[in-house]
Amino acid sequence: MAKTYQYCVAENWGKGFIDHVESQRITFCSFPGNVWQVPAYNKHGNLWIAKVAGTLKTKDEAQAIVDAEVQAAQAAWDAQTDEQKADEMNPRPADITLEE
Amino acid sequence: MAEYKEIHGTKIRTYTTNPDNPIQGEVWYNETDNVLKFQYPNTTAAWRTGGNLNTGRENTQGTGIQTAALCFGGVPTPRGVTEQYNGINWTEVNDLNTGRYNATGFGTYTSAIAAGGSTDPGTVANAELWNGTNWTEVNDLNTARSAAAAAGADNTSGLVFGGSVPPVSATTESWNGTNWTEVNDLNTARSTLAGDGIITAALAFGGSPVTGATEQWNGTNWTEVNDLNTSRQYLAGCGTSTSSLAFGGETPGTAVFAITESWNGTSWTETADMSIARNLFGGAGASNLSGLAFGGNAAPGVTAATEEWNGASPVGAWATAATLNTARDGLAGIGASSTAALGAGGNTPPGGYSADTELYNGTSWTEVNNINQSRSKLTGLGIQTAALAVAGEESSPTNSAKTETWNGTNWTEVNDLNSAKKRVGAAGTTTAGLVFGGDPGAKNETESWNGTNWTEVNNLNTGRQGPGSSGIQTSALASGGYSTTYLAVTESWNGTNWTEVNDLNQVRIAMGSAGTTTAGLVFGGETSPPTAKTEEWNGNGWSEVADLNTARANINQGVTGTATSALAFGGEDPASNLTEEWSGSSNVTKSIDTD
Repeated sequence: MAKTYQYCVAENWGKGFIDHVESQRITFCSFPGNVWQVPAYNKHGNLWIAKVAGTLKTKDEAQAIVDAEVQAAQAAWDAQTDEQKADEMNPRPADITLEE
Repeated sequence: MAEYKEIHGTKIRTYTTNPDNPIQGEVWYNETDNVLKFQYPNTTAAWRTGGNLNTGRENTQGTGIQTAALCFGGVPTPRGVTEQYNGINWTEVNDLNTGRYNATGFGTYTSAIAAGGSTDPGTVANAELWNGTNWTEVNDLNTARSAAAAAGADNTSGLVFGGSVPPVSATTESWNGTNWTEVNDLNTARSTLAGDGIITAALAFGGSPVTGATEQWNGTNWTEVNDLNTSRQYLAGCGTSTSSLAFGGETPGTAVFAITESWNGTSWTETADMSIARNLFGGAGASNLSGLAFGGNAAPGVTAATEEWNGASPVGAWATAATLNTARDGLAGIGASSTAALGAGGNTPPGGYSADTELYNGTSWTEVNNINQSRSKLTGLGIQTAALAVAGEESSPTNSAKTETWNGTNWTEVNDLNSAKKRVGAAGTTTAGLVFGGDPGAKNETESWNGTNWTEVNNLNTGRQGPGSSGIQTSALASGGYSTTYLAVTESWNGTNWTEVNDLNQVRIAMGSAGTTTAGLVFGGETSPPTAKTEEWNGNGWSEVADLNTARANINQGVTGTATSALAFGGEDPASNLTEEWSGSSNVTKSIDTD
């Protein structure tokens, strides 16, 4: 099955990291660990990865980075008081499954 | 032919690649691709929710345009019901003298003709003239019929064509303000068709027996032109003979359609579907760029729903921007646009309460004087040079009633809210503000600020914490939030009372907000997990637009910008210093075919 997305690691430096034209051309999705998902086989996605000097990752490599970040966040959540955990605005960080 | 330089005062520049930041309308020559290029507004075509009819009905009829339409007749009884649409709401006005269904009509919402239709039993030839206030009986059609179509600019001139006598008819009649005169027939006899245009240039399309046949009227004769891509009956249409829209309808016994087709004077092209598939409904609109669909039959039955068509909606987008100096969530956000905002307070992990205030100028965030009371889950209102910071959590579980006012340099404590709370919604200015909802629990309290004191006013219908906020003190919107579950419920404040209006598409709490009660925006928020979804409010309903690049909850709280220029900053999951700028419009580069 042809993949839908490609993944890279790139640190968001702020202004110019994603500009309005890039954002309008393709859909970006960010994940913990500075993992970015952009469309695969897409000229504009490839150009953006080059612009931000993103390090390409396979889906499995990206998933491992995300898992490590999520597990750390879950451990931090588990260490909170019961009162903090009861806050409906403070749900336990959920596992994230990246798409192919 | 004039040269480009004579018109624009400059020659077309040549680039080896495209220019870095071309402005809208700029033309250049790309010598690498050997092609002339230009910067063009990026638009999309879409239906969005409008205000519901007061009386849901089918077999109804419409005239007018998207922002000034008329709906009359239909079933169930009473069949003479007439309503006027102002682009936001339908208002009941005086009924037809002869209640009927499957009538036809033409004109505007202040000057229209209703003709023919069915009463039980039989079809009628009766015609009535609408002057903006009342219907008056005028001369009858020569041929009684129902489910015909019509074209006409106002109640002084128009055309009625097709319909069921029975049998189906090809008869066309012309109205001169006083009498009906038979003119040349349609080429294809049919009923339940759609039509639009004026007495000298009309279009007829679709109908029963099921057809996609389209005919163009030149003031004298009907000429067959290209068919609809989807043959159907009981559809609606709007526009002119050269710029038209066909939407909805059915093939009997098999399917009810949401399909929309756009006519450019030569052919039909399928475009975005309606949200609700329907038949037996009313339509209005000026062209293939602006239409209205209302009422009809939508499974499982009669609907009052209205949808508005915009054939050229600007496409918005989020871009990353300079990061906050202090990463935090649950902070107050205040600002006029994507390049002028204030952030204050918030939660700095792990468990810290911030007093930091930062000012954004479109390029960078600068630390300015702190708020007096450090707190998180506070909300802001006003603009970046004159703001209020209200409510919040001072320490767990101590909520705050404190209000502080910002004069562009310093924060000063002023009179407290009547009750301590956090995660409130807020709108308005430093002299005329409004705060609603909040935590603990799911408060429905509303408080109004006059520049000196807070006064309790009428409650929200649905108590909630963390709603989205748009508007001003006398006209505000509360959207989403949390009670015992994440909410999509939206309420509109008219200065006195809250009224439920159309829901968000995405339930959420602690989202960012911008804009007014006629053009609002919400973005991000907690949905477990956080969402990146952005929705735009047009005064009637919410439409999903482009997502944030990074999903976040507990983002800036308060009105921060407008529906076309907003700012998202801070938030959590992950704890964030990220900022994104919203532009409600964008451009694309297109090539000019010079062959």
